[in-house]
Amino acid sequence: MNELFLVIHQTAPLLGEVEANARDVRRRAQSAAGVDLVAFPELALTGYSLRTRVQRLARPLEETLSLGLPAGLPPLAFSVPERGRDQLVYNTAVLLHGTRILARHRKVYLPTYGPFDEGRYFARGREAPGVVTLPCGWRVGLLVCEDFWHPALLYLLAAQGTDLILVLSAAIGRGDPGEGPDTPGPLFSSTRSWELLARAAALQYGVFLALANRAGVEEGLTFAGGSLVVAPDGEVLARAPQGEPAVLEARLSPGALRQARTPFAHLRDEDPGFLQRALSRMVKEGGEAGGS
Amino acid sequence: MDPERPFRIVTGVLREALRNSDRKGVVVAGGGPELRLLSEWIQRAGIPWEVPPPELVRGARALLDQGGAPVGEAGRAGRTDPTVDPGEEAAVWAATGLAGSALARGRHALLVGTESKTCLLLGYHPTGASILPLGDLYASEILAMAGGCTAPNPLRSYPPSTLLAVDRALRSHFEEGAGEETAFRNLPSPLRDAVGIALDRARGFWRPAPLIPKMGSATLGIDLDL
Repeated sequence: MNELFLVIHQTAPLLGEVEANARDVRRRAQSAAGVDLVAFPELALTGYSLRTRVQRLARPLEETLSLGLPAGLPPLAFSVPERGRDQLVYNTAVLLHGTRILARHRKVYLPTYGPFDEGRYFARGREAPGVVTLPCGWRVGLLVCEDFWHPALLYLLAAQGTDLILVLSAAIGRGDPGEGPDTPGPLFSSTRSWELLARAAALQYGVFLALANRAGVEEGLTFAGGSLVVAPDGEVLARAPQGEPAVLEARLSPGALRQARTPFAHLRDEDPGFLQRALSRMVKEGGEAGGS
Repeated sequence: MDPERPFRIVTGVLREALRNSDRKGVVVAGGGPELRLLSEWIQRAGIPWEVPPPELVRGARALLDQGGAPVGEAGRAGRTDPTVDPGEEAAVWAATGLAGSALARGRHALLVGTESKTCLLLGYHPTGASILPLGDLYASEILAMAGGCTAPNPLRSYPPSTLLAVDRALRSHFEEGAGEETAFRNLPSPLRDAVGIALDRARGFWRPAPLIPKMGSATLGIDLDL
């Protein structure tokens, strides 16, 4: 397995302006010569705060992806409002290679609290995220934004042998970052939490972890940006600025996976069967996490 | 507080609002140090802006006086000058809002207000502005950036240090989840009572907030109602 060249486009999509956003994605994708994987943020084609507009903009996945891209481009990852066969609308991350859909993940955890109301407009994905092998040989798993805050999904991807967890997000900025060595950037403290989680997950499972977050503004919300790529040893390989569009490039070495998994046997010692038995018993007994 | 942060966030939200509404500029209806600070930012961002001229405000005031529009003391937080009559100040404010609204309509511009989060929490009721760019900044933060600020009615006769304590208490209650009793227990008794009454009154009169650029963890109209 060779090095993986990952490019994250930290874009600022315009809300509801699908044509303009698709043009931007097309233009960026076409400049991806020599790249193994290109990632865009959550809902990069439509904007985030769609509310009832999702009903108008949602399309079956195959229709949504007719971006008019030329052949020969690397796989692209982004999320779209998908009209499922059941006529429900999902926030779906796709990995597109040419006209082929390599992978699809419907967002499972829809934030519906504070400034978020995704649960009102999207249906919840019911399938566990899967892992797909890219043409370059790397195994990748997709998550969408809030999914990342639920460790069970990270576990599921790690247990399936992913090399890279790619999180597409539209994380809003909040909180004054203050000053000091841990200041994540000039705009928002919330970026620090995302980075902490990313570093912990990468270290815990010995995987690369990439966050493709968006920039820009929608209806009073400023998206935090701060996309990043973390190595399996928990160190940040690349970090985009907060709050503004940027292009983030990172070369991921398979040697880093090997190094991370040599001294630490966490991934080797994971036991999905043990977990399954424990969860089955818990569910059967109607108990809750932490119950005796 | 480094003003660069709110400058970037506020002007980003204003630009997006202008693009979405297909307007070319803003009319700022407000006063005091907030108006000075906000107009500096808007100017620096290259956004066309105006304030309602005094003759338009006078005309609006005459109109309100004739029409007997309900402009009560509860309708407006006051400035720090305790000699200003709250009723008169409320009338001036209402006239400024009406004049700003007329000017914005005529110019096909967005009407922008200047209220801080402290004023919004303690009793001011928006009267027509589409956007309150400073609405997620506490008065004490405005004070630090602009060298002055508009204090809401319950604080008008207290020194600026009181403002800091009240803002700390408001932040503790609204953003950090402390109960009112815990959050406000360190305020001197008469002030604590006045803040409590103002909060109750604000809750009673509350209407959905205009667009407020999110900066903190609990922004009015986005993730917080009174």
